[in-house]
Amino acid sequence: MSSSLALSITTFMYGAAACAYICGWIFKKNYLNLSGTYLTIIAIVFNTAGIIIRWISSYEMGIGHAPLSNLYESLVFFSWTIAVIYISIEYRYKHRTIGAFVLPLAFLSLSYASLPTVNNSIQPLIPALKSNWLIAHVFTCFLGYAGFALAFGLSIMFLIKTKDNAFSHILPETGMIDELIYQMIMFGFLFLTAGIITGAVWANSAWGAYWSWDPKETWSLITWFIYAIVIHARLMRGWSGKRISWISIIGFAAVLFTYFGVNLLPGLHSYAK
Amino acid sequence: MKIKSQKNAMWLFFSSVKLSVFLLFTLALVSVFGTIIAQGQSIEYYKSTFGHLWGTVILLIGMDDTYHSFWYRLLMGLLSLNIIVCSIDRLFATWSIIFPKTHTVKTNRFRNKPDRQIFNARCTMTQLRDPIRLFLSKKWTHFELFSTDTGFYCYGETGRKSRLGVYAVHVSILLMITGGIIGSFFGFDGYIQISEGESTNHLVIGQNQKIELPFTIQCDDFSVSYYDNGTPSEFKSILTLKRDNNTFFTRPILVNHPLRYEGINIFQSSYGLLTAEYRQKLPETVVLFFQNPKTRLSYPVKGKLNERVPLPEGKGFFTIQNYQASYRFSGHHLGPTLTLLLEIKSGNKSDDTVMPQLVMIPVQYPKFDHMRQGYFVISVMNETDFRIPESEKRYYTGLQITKDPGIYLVYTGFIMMLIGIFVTFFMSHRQYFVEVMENSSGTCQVLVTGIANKNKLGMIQKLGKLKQELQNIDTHCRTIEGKI
Repeated sequence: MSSSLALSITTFMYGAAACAYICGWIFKKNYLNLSGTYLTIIAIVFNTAGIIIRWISSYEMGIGHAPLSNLYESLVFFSWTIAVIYISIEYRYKHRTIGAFVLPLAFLSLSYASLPTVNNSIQPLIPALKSNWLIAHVFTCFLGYAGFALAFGLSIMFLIKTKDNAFSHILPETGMIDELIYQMIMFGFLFLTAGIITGAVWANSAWGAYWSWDPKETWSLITWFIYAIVIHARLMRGWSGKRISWISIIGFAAVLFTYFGVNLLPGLHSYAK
Repeated sequence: MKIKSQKNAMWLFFSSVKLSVFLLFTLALVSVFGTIIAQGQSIEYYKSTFGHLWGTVILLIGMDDTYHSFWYRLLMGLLSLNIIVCSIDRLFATWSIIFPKTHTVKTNRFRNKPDRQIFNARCTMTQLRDPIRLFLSKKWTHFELFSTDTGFYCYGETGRKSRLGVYAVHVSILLMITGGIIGSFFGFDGYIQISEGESTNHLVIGQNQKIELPFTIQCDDFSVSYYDNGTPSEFKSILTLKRDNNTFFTRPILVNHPLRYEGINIFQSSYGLLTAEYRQKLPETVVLFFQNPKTRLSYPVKGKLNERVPLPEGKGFFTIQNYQASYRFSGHHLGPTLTLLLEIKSGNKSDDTVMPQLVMIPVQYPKFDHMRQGYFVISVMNETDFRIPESEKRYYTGLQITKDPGIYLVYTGFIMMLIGIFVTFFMSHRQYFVEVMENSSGTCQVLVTGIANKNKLGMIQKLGKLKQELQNIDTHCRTIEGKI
């Protein structure tokens, strides 16, 4: 099986899982939610296979490197991290409705990767990317992004929950969603910090400067500031619920801009296009 | 008295979380503008892009170099002050919790906790006392046992020092800022170009700041290797470092593999060609490709300078009249180009009229001749024959030379921040309270409760587990007693 076939199946599976979770939530059918779980697990298996096959074929082409080197590969990894973190939360908290707000993100990420504008060929690494820091940097950054993506999905869920209507009462309790949003923000913040730091150490060995105010660096710092505000507002001023949800949504917008928007601006990360 | 109250007002201002949130928000907002407005451009650029008024405003407030402007540094300074004052303020309160000189267990606080859990043990108080003491003193980092009128209670703590995590995070930010400041005052960051075989011992930064290096850098060799698809795979400079005819060592440097010596770092940054890409003279023989666009038949034909060669399909003759290593055509740079004299027949008979014409064949652009729409589309068969071979090329290497004595502080800050954030988010200070009370009947009741400064949900799970473990001890005791 080729990597692109595995990932096409994955995209389809994530889409199906997202539909199952959303229908399960709206029509209050537990068997739909349950099939969402199975579809997600199958999708994760295919997603993992796709990544591993791509990794192997890059070695067969003689330009072996971890599949974390361009936009396509990062999108594939992003949906993988979202799905894996989601499934572990589902396992721990036994609330399947969360899937309706998270799986669409994994699906969207992979759908974007399948667009013809995104180059999906395996390319050799440019000299600047040839470093052991590549894996550490991209891995930590995307764990961080995925944490914030989940916090975003949960925030949307929280806002729907507070609107008292037919769809809101099978969602988990506000207290639990609130706690989960915060957990995901803490997780994301730790890994975003690790991502920025590994990036800085790498930049210092590649270019001789750990911080250059490159737009992507600056935007990651802006994102860091926003989530630092969330954490301080919550711990020191007792903010919770709606207000935290809204800042978490703004924070995720900053994450998306750090990820995609910055490519519109010139800078050191130009190869991530 | 008045001075003191003023000082308190200042202290309160700088220790407030509102100020931190305000500063973080402002820094984020300003940074956004810094990425939208292109940095480090000319006056003309700002005036033409943003209009005269806004262009002037941008330059006036230093938004052309936002992150080094006075007020960006002011915001950073205020944030540092905020962190220092906040940390001192709160550390006074937490210090006595983390390192208490004497402390008394507030038993009533635990005994009356609404979520306390109680179970009835089957063993007697004296039977339970030793196993419980042994078990809990191993489990908790801090352990105390007190006897009461009806039995005993154990008080314990774990993760007391996790309260320090948050201070580690804040101090790490101060370390990074200090490291950055030290780097900008006592370090430098410059760029030099050295041709193969040459050397230098100084670099120029900005307009006129000349820095003498403690040694001479000599570039012995530079090479580029390529992937099959033609993109560069590696740049490599062989450098020799020496001082006063005293050679230290020769070492290769690559991108991502810098050379660090005597506090100075040398990075492979860029490279360039000193010689031209293409030959100045025409190679001995040239193979040209004549394609008939109608029949799609192609004919490779050898040619030499000023030699009249028959065309394929008996269409006449061509002569290579001239070769220019760089040719300009209506404002475009076409690179190496051949000039051909074509004597092509209009028909197929031997007495057909011959139309002599001059044709330009740029070596790099094989499709260029399509535009002429002639009988043949002519191109050069092997472009690489015109290139100067790798062995004859001369390069210069572009090196980034830096010195940063603040880097150790910054890296210490990095490590401290990661550990600090982990401890702050995922560890908590937990206090446990287990009391065993004897009933009149000889059996006893066990009370389990506790408090945590963070992650209360996790604490409830921990307490549930602790209760289970104590019940197991009780059952275990019982079976041993039974056997005796």
